[in-house]
Amino acid sequence: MLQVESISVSYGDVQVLYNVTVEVKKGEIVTLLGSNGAGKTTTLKAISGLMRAKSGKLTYGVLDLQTIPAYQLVSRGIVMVPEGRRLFPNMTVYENLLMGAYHREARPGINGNMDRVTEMFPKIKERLRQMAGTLSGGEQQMLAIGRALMSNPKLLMLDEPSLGLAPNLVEQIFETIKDINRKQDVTVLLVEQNANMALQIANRGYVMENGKIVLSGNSKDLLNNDQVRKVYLGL
Amino acid sequence: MSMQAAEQLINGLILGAMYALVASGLSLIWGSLKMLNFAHGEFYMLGGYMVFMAFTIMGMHPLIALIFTMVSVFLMGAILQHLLIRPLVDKPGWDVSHIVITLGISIFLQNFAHRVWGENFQNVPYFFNGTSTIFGLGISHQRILILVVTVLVIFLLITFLKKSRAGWALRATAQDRDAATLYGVDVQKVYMWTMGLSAALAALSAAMLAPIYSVNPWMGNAVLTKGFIVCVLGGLGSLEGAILGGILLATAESLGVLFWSSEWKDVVSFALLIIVLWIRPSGLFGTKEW
Amino acid sequence: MVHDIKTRVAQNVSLFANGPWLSRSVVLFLLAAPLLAPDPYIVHILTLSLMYAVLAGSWNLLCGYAGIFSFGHQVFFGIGAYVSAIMAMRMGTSPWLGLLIGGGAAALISVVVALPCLRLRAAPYIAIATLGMAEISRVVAQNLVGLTRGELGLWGIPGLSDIALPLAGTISFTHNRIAYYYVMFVLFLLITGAIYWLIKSPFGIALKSIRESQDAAESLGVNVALYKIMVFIISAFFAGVVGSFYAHYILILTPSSVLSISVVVEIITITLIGGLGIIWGPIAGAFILTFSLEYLRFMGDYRLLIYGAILIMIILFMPEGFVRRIFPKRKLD
Repeated sequence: MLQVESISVSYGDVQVLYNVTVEVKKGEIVTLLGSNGAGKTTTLKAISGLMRAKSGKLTYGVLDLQTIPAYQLVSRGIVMVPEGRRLFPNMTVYENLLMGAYHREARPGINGNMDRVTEMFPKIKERLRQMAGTLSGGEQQMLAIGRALMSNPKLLMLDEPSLGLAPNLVEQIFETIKDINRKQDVTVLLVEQNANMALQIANRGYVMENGKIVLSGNSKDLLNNDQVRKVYLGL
Repeated sequence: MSMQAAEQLINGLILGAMYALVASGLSLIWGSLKMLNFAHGEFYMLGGYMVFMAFTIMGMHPLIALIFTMVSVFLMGAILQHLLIRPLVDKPGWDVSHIVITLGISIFLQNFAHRVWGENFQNVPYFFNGTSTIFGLGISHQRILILVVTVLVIFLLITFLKKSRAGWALRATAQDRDAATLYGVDVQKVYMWTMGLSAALAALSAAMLAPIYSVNPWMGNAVLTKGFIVCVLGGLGSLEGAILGGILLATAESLGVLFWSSEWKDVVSFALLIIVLWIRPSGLFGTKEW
Repeated sequence: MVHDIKTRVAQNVSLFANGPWLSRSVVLFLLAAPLLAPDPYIVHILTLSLMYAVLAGSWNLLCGYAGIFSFGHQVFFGIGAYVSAIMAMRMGTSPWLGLLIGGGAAALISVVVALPCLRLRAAPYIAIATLGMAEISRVVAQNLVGLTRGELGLWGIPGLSDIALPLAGTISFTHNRIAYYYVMFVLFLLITGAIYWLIKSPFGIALKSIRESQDAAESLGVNVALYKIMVFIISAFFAGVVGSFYAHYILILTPSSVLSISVVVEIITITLIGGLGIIWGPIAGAFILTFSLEYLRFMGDYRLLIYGAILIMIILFMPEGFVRRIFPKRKLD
């Protein structure tokens, strides 16, 4: 479904991604692992069009992603839950959800989606009229995922959804992601520092270091890999 | 309350309405584009000249003239944004470059107006003649028009921002540009419309005041400074702040004229500005971005 | 054979342009300029250029090096001018002393101006704050008619008084534009030299660190507030000296000529044309702009129109300024 072929990205004169190749097949959960500064967020930004790749190819099905402006990706089903949630702080929870369905293709299903999302996240349902900026970390993460679901994603990209959350909430988030993938048939690309949990729900994974892909394989193989165990799983 | 004080308060309200319209535009631009538009006074000035052309020269009906003014200046604002501001938005040094380019646009437009219409003050006749007596005070119909139109427009603006899809796009862009892009908002288009809208609001304000204050190429200067002061008072980026700040400043100025002479009233507003920036830079409702 | 000569010439030109001799030649040229072109009009333009070079240079210290985008620099210029003029007219102070007193007055005021700017960081906020304070000073000067004669203008300011020089004898400044030029030239050397020395010193490095990131500078132990005040004082002093010179040169003052926004707009334009944050930026910009505007004088009323267009063009197409464009490889600051 998504083919990232050998992309290189720079911030001004500083190169941060070197020939990164990632593939995500339909229906999979693929995880992108690595420590801070490894280039995971930059990879997602390149895919979502917030940054431009200097070289390489980005294809989604038959679509060349580099020919489309960033704001049109969501209508093709490519949706991102950015690092740090990036909600609209001075809009209500309800308005944030509605913004998820801003693009025209999502409008017909708005009511259905709204019901589904509020059912999935009852805490959100309680706080519909509250300003998004006043929610707790866990609630914000759920709202961010809810907003993404409002847009009818086909490929859902999440950037460190577990960051800063309490362990029980982390479990809940990962369960939710697994749910979305199985029940709503959404392909997932998950960037995470929490390698353990990520590999437990993912089919395959890639490991990044210093802007390069250094390992890839089935999550089971990665979980058993010595390198991975030592560096990312702390075992 | 003495007659004099009451009259001053009415003047204050009228002035407040004008300040609110002008400052709303500035606040909108600051909120979404994160910029101070130093050419904002010139959109105001162009509004004055457009209504002059429409009403005095072409003889349109006053309400049509107002709409003509708003639409034409809206387009000017949008086009200027697209041609001159857009290339700089994503480049480094935006903090400074936007000040410089809007300054250049301001100088250019002032002198352009000077070339085209000359330096004499142009008079625009009152849209509606006559006065009415309300609560024992005589208020001209022009002034009533200003109050009514301003309240109406502000109400429409707030409704637009809270209820319409385009309004949400604007608010979302102002609050988080990247997130807005991720969810389908064409941010560049939003910027363009925001600038156009902001310009139109200033133009409307000038158009309604034109019969009272007449029109000249440099009328934007004083308005710009006042606009900044109001925005800072109310909190840059906040619409409610701009409106309340406008009323506050106008009231302070009008009362100031009662106690001091009119030459010193400007010092009052500037001093107020400095005090606010000193004590509470975020103003009444603003965000912590200073 | 011809090819060798061409390469040799190119190499020498490059050596010249990239070594210290270019700067030295410019200074020498400026030293000799009035003797090469003694036409009083041209000398006047040269003097104005030098004046703006120093004034913009003082602003460049504040904005280009310390990152404080002040929109109120005209206060320092204007206060220097008015204080020096009024003291000379009312108390008979020597205009020479006035140069220092004007600078000192501006330096004192700058502390007041600096205070709100200590908390503010974003350029737009600092711009509004400094603009507000400058406008206050302008209105005050306009209204204190007893002291300044407001917009009617302060006429009859005494020019620089005669001085006795060891070799040249007594110099009179009445109708002596060349003498004024050389005074400004000396001021130019002194002030620009001082700024250059400051930039290279630890003080200058601290300033640049504040420009780049106030938080980082703070965490490295830089007393940001103190440095901000200091750079304001120094920058204001220099601007005040120039203002004082202006008063005793032009011999008339009005609030709208020395305390209005147009002064700082001109300063900003000059600095940007030449290059923000480099020593030669304001200097190049001052000469380019002053001479261009004079050349364009024949265009009469279109002059200011072009002014605005220049600003727009520069920031769109050459935001780094002329000097960096011509010498991209040199380390200039």
